This record gives sequence, C-alpha cells and structure tokens, in this order.
Amino acid sequence: MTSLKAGLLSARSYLTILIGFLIGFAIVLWVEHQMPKRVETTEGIILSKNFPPLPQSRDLTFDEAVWARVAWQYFINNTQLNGLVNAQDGKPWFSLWSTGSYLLATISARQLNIISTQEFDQRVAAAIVTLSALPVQPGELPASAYHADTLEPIATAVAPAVDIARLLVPLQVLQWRYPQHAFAVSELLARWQLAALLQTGAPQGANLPVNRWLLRDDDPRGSYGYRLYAAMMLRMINTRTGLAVSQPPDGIKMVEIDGIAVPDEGLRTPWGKQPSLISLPYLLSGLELGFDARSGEIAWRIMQIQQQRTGEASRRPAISTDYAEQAPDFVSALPGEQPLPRNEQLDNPPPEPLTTHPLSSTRSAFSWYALFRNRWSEEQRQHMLPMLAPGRGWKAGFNPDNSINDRIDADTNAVVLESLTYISHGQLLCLACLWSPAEAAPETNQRVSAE
Amino acid sequence: MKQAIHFPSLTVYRRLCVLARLLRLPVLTRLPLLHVLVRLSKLPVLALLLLPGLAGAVSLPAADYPVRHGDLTPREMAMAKNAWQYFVANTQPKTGLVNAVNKYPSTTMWDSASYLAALTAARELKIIDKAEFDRRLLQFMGTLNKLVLFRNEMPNKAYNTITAQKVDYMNKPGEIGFSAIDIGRMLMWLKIIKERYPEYGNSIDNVVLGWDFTHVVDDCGTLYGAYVDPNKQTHYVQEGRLGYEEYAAAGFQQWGFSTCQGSRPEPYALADIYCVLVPYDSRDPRLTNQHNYVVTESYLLHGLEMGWDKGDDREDSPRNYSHPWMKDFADRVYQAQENRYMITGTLTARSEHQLDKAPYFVYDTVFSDGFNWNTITDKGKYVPETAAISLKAAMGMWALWDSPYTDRLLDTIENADEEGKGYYEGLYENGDGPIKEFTANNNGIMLEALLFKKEGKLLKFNTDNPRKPEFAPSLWERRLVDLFEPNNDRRNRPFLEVTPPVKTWCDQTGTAVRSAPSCKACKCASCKNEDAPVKLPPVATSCLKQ
Repeated sequence: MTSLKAGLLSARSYLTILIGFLIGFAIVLWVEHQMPKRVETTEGIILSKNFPPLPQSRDLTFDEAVWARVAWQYFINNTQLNGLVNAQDGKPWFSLWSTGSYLLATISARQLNIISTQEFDQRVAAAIVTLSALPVQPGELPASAYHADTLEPIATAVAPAVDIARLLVPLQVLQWRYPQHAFAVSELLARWQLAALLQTGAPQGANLPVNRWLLRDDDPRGSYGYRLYAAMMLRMINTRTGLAVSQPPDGIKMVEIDGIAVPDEGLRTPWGKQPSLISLPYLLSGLELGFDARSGEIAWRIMQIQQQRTGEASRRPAISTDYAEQAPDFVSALPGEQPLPRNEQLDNPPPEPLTTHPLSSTRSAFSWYALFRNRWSEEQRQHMLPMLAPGRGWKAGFNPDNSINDRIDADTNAVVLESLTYISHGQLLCLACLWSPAEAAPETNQRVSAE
Repeated sequence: MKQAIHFPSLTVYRRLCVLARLLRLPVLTRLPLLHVLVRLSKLPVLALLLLPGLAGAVSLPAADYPVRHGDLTPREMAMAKNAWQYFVANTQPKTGLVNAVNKYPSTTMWDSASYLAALTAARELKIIDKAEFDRRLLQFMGTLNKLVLFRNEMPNKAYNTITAQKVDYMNKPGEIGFSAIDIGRMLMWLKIIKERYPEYGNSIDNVVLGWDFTHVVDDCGTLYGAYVDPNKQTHYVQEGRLGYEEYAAAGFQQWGFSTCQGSRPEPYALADIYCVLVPYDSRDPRLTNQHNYVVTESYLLHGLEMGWDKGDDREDSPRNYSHPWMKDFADRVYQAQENRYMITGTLTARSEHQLDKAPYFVYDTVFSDGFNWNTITDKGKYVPETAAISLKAAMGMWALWDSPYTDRLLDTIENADEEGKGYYEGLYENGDGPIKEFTANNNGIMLEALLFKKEGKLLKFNTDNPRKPEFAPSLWERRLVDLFEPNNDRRNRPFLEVTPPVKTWCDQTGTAVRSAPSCKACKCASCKNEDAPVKLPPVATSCLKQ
C-alpha cells in the first residue's frame, strides 16, 4: 500500500499532465460535437418530400397596397435627373446591382399599378439611355460603382460578374414583357463586352475547353448561392460562359444544421455556434426568375432551419441569414461625406468583415412572406412593421441586438415591391404568366390619382 | 331623416295610444323590419353569420380604430386651457359675441356655434365654473334673440361683434344673405345646449321661433342659402355639398325639419386617393359655382356631435354608428390622409382654414374640383403653397380615430399656441411654420374634440325624451302643435314627428298634431328608404389587382 501511495506521490506530475490531456481532449470532443457536421457531396439537390405546395396568386390586401407604395416612395425620392437612382437614401452613388434593383422595382411598380404606363416607359427609357452613356473601363465593361449625379466611376475596378448578372434580370424581363424597350436593351448590351466577363480569371489551359468560373475571394457576394443566382443569367451570354458558370466550384460543401443539410458558407464565429447561411440569392431567384429544384429546395431547407429555431420551444439561437452589406469603402469619397481626420484613419482598425453584422432583414421577411406562406413567414413580416419609415421607404431590418438598422436602400425597397408583385402576379420573368383575365373597364366615376 | 311621415289623424292616433296602454307595448309605427335587420347586421357576430361572403372583404384600417375615450390627461387639459384663451381674449363685453378671427370684430352663425361648443367644453372640463358659463351664455342668448335678421327671415351671414349689427363682408352695416350651412350648425348647437342645460330651453326656443324658415328649407328637404346680387335682388340657391350639406341638414333635423334631399349623399362619385375610394359631390362646380370640397371638418363635426348616429338615435354607445353611411365616408376621408402620410411622409390633416396673409381663407382639401389634395380659394384659385395641417382637423381626427398616426398629429400640434391667444390656425405643410392667425372656429372645435374624449357624443338627449313619464314638451314643441298659431305655416315650421311610444304626448289634451299636407312627399320620389346602408367598395380595385 505504501509503495502505491509513494508511487502515486512521486508520479503526481505525470498524472497531472495526463489529467490535463484528458481534459483538453474532452474539450476538443465537446467542441467537435458542437460543430455542425460537414459533408462534401457531388449528388444533386432534389426536392424533398415535404416541399410545400406553391402559393396561389391572390389580390393584395389594402395594407399590402400601401406598403408597396411606401417602398416605391424610396425611388421617387432618390431618382436622379439622369434617370438612375441612388443605391442608398440620399447618397448619390449606384452600382450595377442597385440599378438592377431599381429596374425590377419599376417593373413591379407598373405591375402593381403604382405608376402609369407612361411613367414606366419614361423611367425605363431614361435609365437605359443613361446606362448606355456610362463610361466603361478598359475591356469595355462598366465599373463597379458610379457617382449617381456625375456618372463618374468611383473606383476603377470592373463590375463583378454577379452585379452584371443582377442587372441582366430586369433587362431580360423588359425584352420579354415590354417589347417597346427591347431594342434599347439590345443596343445597351451590345456596348458591353459581356463575352470577356469571365475570361479574366485563370489562364486558359490547353486541354480544358473552358475556364472554371473563379470568384474573387474578397467578393462579398462570392458564395455558392450568389453563384447559382448569377449563373442563371450569365449562362445566356454565350456558350463558353454558359459552360463556365454552370460548373460547380469543387463539389458542393454541405453543412448539416439541425439535421438539415444546406450549402456551407463558412462559419461566422470561431465557436461554430453560428454557421453561416445566406438566403438572399435563393429568395431573389424565387421572386424574379422562379425557383428551380435546386434553389427552391435550398430556400426551403434554410427556411425550415430558421423556423425550427424561432419557435419558443427551441432553445438554440436563431440563425441569421442576412449580413449587412456595407456601402463600398469608396463611398466616403462622395461629395458631402465627412472625410475622417488622418490620425483617426490610421488608428482605426480595418473595417470589420461583413460577416460580423448579421441582422434580420426586411427584404428577407417580405420574401419569405411571398414565397412560402405560412404562419412563420407571416410573423416574420409582421415583425418588420416598425421598419416602415413614412415618406422614405423601408429600413433594412433589426440588428442582432434588436436595435433598428435604419439604413434605407434601393435593394430593400426593391425586394419589398418584388415580393408584393410575386403575391399578386407571380415571378417577374415568366413566359406563361402574361395572360391575365380581361380587365374590367374602370368605372367612369373612378379617377386614378397622380400626385 | 324621416321625410314627411304622415301622422295618423288625431282620433286614430288616440286609439293607437289607448291600445298601446292596454297592451303595455310601445306603438311601433316606424320601425320596419328592414330597419331592424340593418341594425342587427351592425353587430359583428351577426354580420358574420348573415354575410359569410363579406367576412373576408376588404375594409379600411380606419374602420377598426376606436374613438378615444377617457378622462383627459394633464397634457390634454393643458391643451384645452390653451384653446380657451382665445375666447377669453376675444369676447366682446357689450354683446357677448366672440370675434370669429382674432381682434376682428365680425362673426357668423357658424363661428358663434363654435363659440357655444367652446363654452360647453370649458364648463364641462371645469375650465370655467357655472357662474362664468351662465354670465356668458345669458348675454349671448340675449344678443342672439335681438339680432336683426336678413329680410326678417334668418340671421344674416355676418354680424359686427361690437354692435351686433348685421354687416357685409367688409364689416360695414348692410345685409348680404344667409347661409343654411351656418344656420344648420347653429341649430345643432342650440339643440345640444337645450338638451344639456334645460334651464336655457325657453330662451333658445324663442330664438328659433323668431326665425322664418320659408326659404331655407323646401318641402323635399333641400337646403337653400340666400345672396343679394349687385342689383339688390335676393336669390335663394341650393347650398351645401357632400359633407357640409348633410351635417347642416342634421342640425335642421334636430328641430323637426324633414331634410330628406339635404341628408342624402347622392349625387356623389368616388375618387381614388392613395388607394382609398373617397366620395365627393359630383355636381358640376362649373355650373353651380360651388366647389365640391372634401375636407375633414364636416365629417368630424358629425362624429363629435352626433356620434355618426342617426338624428333620432338616443343611444350613446360609442361603438354603434347608426347613421347609414356617415362613419363609412368619414373613415375614407381619414384613411386617405393617413395613407398620404405613410407613403409620402407629409403629415396631413386638411380642412378649410384662415391664413395670416392674402388670400386669407382657403379650402385646403383632400379633393375638390377634380384634383386630389387641391388647395383653392373660394373663387377656385389654386394656391398649393398655403396647404397646412389644420389644427382643428388634427385634433378632431385624434379624438375620433385612436391610431399611431393621430398620436403623431397630436405631438405635432401640441404646443402650436401663443400665450393668451389660443392655438394657431395651422402649420404649413411646406415647412413655413405656423399660420399666425387665431380663430373661434379652430379653437372651438379643438375644445369640442377634447370634450368628446371625456364624454363621447356631445348631443346628450336629456330633457325631451318622450318615453319618460316626466316628459314635458318644450316651448318649441308646444307651439308647433298649436293649431291656432299663425306663424307655424307662415314661417314654414316643421310638422312635428311623433316619437313612437309617446304615451305622455298622447295624454295631452287641447293640442293636436299638425299634419303635413297629404301629397307633400310625392314630389320627392328619391327620398324613400333613406336608412338603406350605402355599400361601396372602400379600396380601389386597381391597387389590389391589375
């Protein structure tokens, strides 16, 4: 006995180390357990059995009609004389992405009868003329952002492919549904060397027929979802691009959250408590181009994860699928922006990555509300009522600490309009949605207001 | 609202009374089954049972905002006291009349009625005591009774508040005609005061007995105003457009006149204003020289004073609006303004109002002469730069629609007053600040809206409920049934309607009900079935579906 005791005593330092190892190992196991499971899959994503029935188009409610007009007010307030619209309330810059939002908002406003045919035609014509007049960068492609009043490029970078894809959506809709603008759209597209859009990546391999589409690492819209959304438009540029954009990057990485596998977009926090999900590109696909099996299924899975985590029964934290998009750095170079004093510029840490600003956004709430109508999406939309800013449009959403993110921008307000159009008319780009019951002649004693 | 209900001849009526007494049942002479059904269908549960198809129908949010009710908060009391300051500063000691506009010694029947409203509110809200109230009202009633009438008929359009002489538009002695709309509002307030304070019943009845109604209301219940042309000829012309016309008619109705034509909403049409279908008078302004203003004021006065009830509705329940369409139309006018705020961000509470500069008076409308949000002078000149938040409209909307929007309106106007002068007329929509003018009408309506919050519908039937055993007909009623009173016919006084279960009335002896001539109503075919609810879509279909 004594020898064991003495032995233990003399081995105490080794024992301590062993126990330390065990504790450390336990922690690692625990963390591993907390991490969502990640799998790489090459299988396609197919519709699950519980995919909900598609909602029927229905009339708007009175409230919805007012909400749509509130959203449209943003574009009234921010239209420049040249026919384009600020990306952010009162800030005179725009990107091709935000211009896509504007044109889609205009199409929606026409569909919802907020603006007359005449105003629609004038706005669209002015926007296309101004887009055609944009100075292009070397390579005959537009820049990523412009001063909205002077049309000077703000940065020399060429517009990201995803932004151009977004602008192509409304241009495509115009060609199908509003043929009076089709010629102008073709002329505009002829100005830009879209064929060169994806050839700036890796060098052309001798035996590879096409490049793989590589997105820049720092592209804030570089995720799988955006890729999927953009590919639907970009593939129409030409065969080479079509092949490039439709190749999946390297198999799809999936991450399993609450037993549901969704595309892995990385982790937002080192502890893995907050896996990254991005919903916007899937939602935009649904509202504008219509779901395909892949985007529809992914959107549905993301919604299920969110839905499971919002109920009172769930003790797991809600997962945000929205990350605040900051205005580009160069926006501080805009006239009217207060430049920072030099010392402050140096002391300031580099801007936090976008990934640290999750929020629950107005645009997602409205999109869920339009695409999957159930009690959860209804609550989401209800929750966003405080975002209505009379006379200005809709604010972005709630910050994670539940304070209001009072940024007002073209994207949010466009998505509100698109969602309401989806409710009453279905997706925006559609060949068989054009039929509508014969319009009853308006009663003679009803006037249409135009203030 | 009843057009010339014919009274059964006296003997038949007596028989009915006896029958009723035997059966201990009220005599149901005028409650047709249809009416009962309409009443019942107002109950939401029954409406759901009866009209399942309508359950999901579109309705305006305004229809579900309750009216405000409760004791005044210290903040609201402070507002009431501020508004009363106008009347402290502008009462003329010699006549007891109040200047319609600050320091300008002229007034009209409309503005004097607003003074009566302010006086009632001040007493009920305990800003003044009964002694002060009596001192003011005794002098006012004396002056009102002695006013020299236009052509010995009705009160002139304007009077000098210092001398109580009838005056023209320049406040010079002269006569210019009478306004049925102004008189309607005065009749409404005389009735309210008579019901609330029966001690003033006789002096009020004496005033009304002194008026000659020959030209102001015709057999079909159309209201007429009078004007004098440059050749000194008097013309009587139909007066009033949708809203004001029906409000004024309600005042005449309270005194027993049948105002069928004036009380019907027709002819009207609907304008699409931010998706709300707002009714406007569709008589052509080019032909009639009267603009079809749609403003808040007429609807809100009906709401405050009549509770959007029918004239004979003695119930006081705040959730029951028995008038067939007034609440519905009022909701539309309100909703258009709230929508304008939500969409464009412009705080909107529109009414007619004074200005502190030329053209001095504008109709600042929701709709008129074919345009939304039109602001015009009485000549029809377009003056959009004078558009303003009217304080009385804002306050009235606050009282009648409890909503976040009207909270915002009250926050906006709360301190727009000047010490010792009362509240400003309005706040310019374009940001030019307050309209530095003070009026009896503005401050009076603000006070009346605050009183509404405390007490609900301001017309409180009290003394002349014929159902009560202690009912005693007033001077006015006794005179109307006096067959030997020559002025009844000469002055076109109404044929009294007998309220159904008039037991005590029946017990009277020596009086007879004066019957209307047998074919009085046959000229007015359009006056049947006035209680039929007006069913209109509230929202423009173009907003909901293309």
